Amino acid sequence: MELELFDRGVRLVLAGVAVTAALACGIAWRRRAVGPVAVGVALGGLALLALVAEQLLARAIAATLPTETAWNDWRWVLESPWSRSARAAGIAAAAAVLLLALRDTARERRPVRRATLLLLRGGACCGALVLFLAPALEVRQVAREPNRIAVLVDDSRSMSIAETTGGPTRADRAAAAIRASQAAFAAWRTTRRVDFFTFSDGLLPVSETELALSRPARGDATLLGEALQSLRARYEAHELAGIVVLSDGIATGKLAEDAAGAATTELLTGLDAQVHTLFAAEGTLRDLAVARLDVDELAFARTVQTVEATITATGLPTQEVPVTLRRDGVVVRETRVTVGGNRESARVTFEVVPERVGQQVLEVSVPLLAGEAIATNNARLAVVRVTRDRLRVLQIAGRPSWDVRALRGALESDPNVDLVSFFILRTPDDIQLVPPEEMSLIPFPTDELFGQELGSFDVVVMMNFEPGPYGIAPYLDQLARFVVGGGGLAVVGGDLAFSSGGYAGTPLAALLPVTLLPDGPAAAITSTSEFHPVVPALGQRHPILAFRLDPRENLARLASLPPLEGQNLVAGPGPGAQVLLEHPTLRTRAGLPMPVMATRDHGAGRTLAVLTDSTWRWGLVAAGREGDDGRAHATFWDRALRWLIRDPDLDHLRLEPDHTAYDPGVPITLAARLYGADYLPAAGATVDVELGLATADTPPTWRAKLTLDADGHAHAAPPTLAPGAYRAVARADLAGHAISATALFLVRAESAELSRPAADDALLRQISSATAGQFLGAASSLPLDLPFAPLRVVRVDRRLEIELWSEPMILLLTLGLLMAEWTLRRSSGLL
Amino acid sequence: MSPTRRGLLLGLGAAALLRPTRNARALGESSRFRIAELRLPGLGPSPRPRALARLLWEIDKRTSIDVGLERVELRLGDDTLFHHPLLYLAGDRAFPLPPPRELERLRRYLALGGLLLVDSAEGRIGGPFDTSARALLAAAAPTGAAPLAPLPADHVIFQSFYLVEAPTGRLALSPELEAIEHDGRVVAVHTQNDLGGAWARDDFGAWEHECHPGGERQRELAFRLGINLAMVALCLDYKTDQVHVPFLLKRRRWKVP
Repeated sequence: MELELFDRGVRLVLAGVAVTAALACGIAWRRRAVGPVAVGVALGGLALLALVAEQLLARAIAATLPTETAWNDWRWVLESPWSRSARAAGIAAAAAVLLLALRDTARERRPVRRATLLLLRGGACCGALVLFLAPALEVRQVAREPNRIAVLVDDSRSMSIAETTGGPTRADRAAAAIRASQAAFAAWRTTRRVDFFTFSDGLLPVSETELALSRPARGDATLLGEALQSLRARYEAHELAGIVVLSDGIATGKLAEDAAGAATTELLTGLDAQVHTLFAAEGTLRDLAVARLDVDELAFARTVQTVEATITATGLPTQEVPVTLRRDGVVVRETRVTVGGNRESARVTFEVVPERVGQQVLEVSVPLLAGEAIATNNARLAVVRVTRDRLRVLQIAGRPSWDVRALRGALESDPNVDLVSFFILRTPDDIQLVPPEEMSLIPFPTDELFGQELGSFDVVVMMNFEPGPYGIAPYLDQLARFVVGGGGLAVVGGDLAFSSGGYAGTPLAALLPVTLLPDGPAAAITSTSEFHPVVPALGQRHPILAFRLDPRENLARLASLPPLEGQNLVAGPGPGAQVLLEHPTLRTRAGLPMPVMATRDHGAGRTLAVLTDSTWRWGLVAAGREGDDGRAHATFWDRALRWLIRDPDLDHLRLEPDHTAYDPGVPITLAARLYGADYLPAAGATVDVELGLATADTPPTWRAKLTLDADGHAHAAPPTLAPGAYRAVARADLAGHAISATALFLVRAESAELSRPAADDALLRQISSATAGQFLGAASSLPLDLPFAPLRVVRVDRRLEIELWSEPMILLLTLGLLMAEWTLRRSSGLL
Repeated sequence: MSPTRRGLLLGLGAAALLRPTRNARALGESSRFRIAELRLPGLGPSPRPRALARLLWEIDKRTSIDVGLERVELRLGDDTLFHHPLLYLAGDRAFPLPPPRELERLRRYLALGGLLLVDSAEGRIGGPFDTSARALLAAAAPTGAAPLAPLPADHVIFQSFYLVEAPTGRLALSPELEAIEHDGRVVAVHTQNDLGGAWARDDFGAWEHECHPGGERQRELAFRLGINLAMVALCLDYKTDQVHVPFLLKRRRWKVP
């Protein structure tokens, strides 16, 4: 057995000390510095002596070993009975003696003599330490168990990138490195086992042969940190000799989230294994990408929405590129940013104001430049749900009244309502004795409200309001367009409303859910009696009058409300109207019950007619009754406004995906729910669902016909979809009318894998540095001599201890050195 | 409201629009605006029985409000108490607190939307009626309501229809109008200046009381305050809407020399 008592590093240190001491001596000698010369000679001499002694001792021991045994291991042992602290004290005492010698010999001006004195003292101290510590060399014949080297090759989608057009992909480079490393693998296998894996979104064992083949990389993530942890868990503590990683250095997951953080350091040190890394890429890639798109999934209508995007440029010269924001495929903003050169990324911020409530697809894109490595990362999509931050209600009243006051109070106390009220407080019929400057009246802003700002409201509530005198008649067409476009209109009765207000024959009349009588004597178009309205079957289930969940309880609640008083008479329900309340005694000319409250859909909007101005009695008057909380009036209007704006919770047909965005391959579920015209679950009815890309005007790519269960629900599972934004549309028949519901969702692109395609060796360097491994750079193969953890000794067959301290020569040598030093000191006059 | 819209609505002129004549005819009597006079045990007959009729007549003539002119007198136990969102309590003598059940009813009335105007006809500050009225208001104030306190000069009561500088009545004893507010709404107003005394007119068309010290101008201001109170009862804080504030500020600046 070949013994090497000092390892390579110790030998280099000793040689370095000797050389340094010699150089220092030379310099000190030229400067006539006696002290440093002596110390240098002594140190250098001791270092050289140690090197010579190691060689002599190793050869002597090797020569004495029995040859019949195949010795294959050795180690130092200390046989002294002293404790650890006692040994430390002994070493400290030896060091102190040496220091004393340094001081005691300071008077000696002859450098050679002083160096000799120090050498003798040092040698004697070493001998004494040997005797004190009693070192022995244990030579053994042992059996070792081979441990394992894990070779991990990145299989993520970014490895499919070729830095140069027509050049090898990163996966090709990794495969070539595997093929070129067969000699290394063979050498490692002489004492160890080598396991091969791929990693991306998971860790998979593969064969060396498979890795040597260039395969398309498919993983949608580079979970390197997670892969290393998973690998560590596969092996027992001493089984893992080391890890070799071949990657482009683009990590997602834990290492990407906090590369420089304490968690990463803890992860890497927790591996307890060296990780050697090979950079399987080049830095010459050209790419322009929308690396990130940051936008809240929820936005508010008519409120500024911020859309932020990160544009990255790799391998491109400094240039200005356009960045485009599209909403549902329509360009809404465009700006330009400067990227490239030293500016790898730029942040773009768009501020837009969504006008429409509902789901929208936002897309931020940059142009595809010539020679780009990746074309699919030049655009990013997001699905945003736009909702109302607050319901904007315009309340217009022909005169102050208890009904007006009750609604204003209810809406003002609702934090979800943004209320603008305009009341006619005085008319020219009224006495005007007071100068205008002593009054707080302002003119009715007809043009501002109906000509300019109407579209900014969600619902208009006209209470006992006569439009004619205020110049609104020319704007009634706009009011009709407002409703057709999705606005809500509620018209509340009174002596200035409906036929009494001259609505008949105007565009306003066409919006209403009632057919008006022509204007005429008040007695012919109004009634002033008090009455308890009749609630027809539809009204009992309609969401506007749903005071209680249970239909019976709800009907009882409706019956318990105070009576209404006064009624605007009409010819009957209008086309497509739903009558929610009827007069108990009054009849239309057709003999039908006189409607008291009715609704209808009109285009995308809805209208509500309340043919009395006494619903305020459901508030304060009801509150005067025992056990009534007086909330019915506020509840009624809350539900009426929500119904008018088509609150999705009150829609007949709903279609909802189980998520807004899906990762590639994740199953998608669409849930449909249909309530009939009577607001009962449409059990057994069918709903047609079709699916297509939301950003392109292309035919649907998938269709399904769903049959609803007893609760009016059904679910659909579309097939796996390619990345993109999709629009699912459900269609059903509701009492002869076709209704539909739409849902948007997103299938994400290849996650974040290709968002930053530029290879980066920084992470690989960090991993190797933190684990005492080697970063091999873009090496073409793995070196044979990569360091790994030593093999684990599992059995000792024979052992032999060679005690250095028990050699009499050691004692004699120590005593001889001491005597020689004493003699020399005496002759030098130092004693 | 967006600043844009607000801005649009603020630059308007000061003249009210004309509308063609149409005889007001409410759909029902309960829709008409009335002020019910509240009577309490121990308070005696109303000291100003004809005050509300004249105020309502003025409201009818000066505003678009549809008014019911019939006199309504109520007690706290009456079934129709909650049919009248505005109550008027006038007195000139001390009175005991109502029984707990009626007190609770008044508290509920105020909490759920009612408004009580308390008017001292004693002709002095801090009289027996005033003391009793303050005790009543303290006992009937809704839970969580602020205590009776003077209203600031820019309160909506002083600008809901007329721009009122001082809350005078038949007398001008107190420069302040006191009120209890609950959930941002005035639920009770208290004055010691005898508003009813300024409003009251006998069956022959003569004013029942002289206004001191301001004479007929002071009476006019008392009517303006009464009309403003009616507007607050019917429109709540309509005039404090942001769309109106700059306009009102502008109007007030015109009056500054």
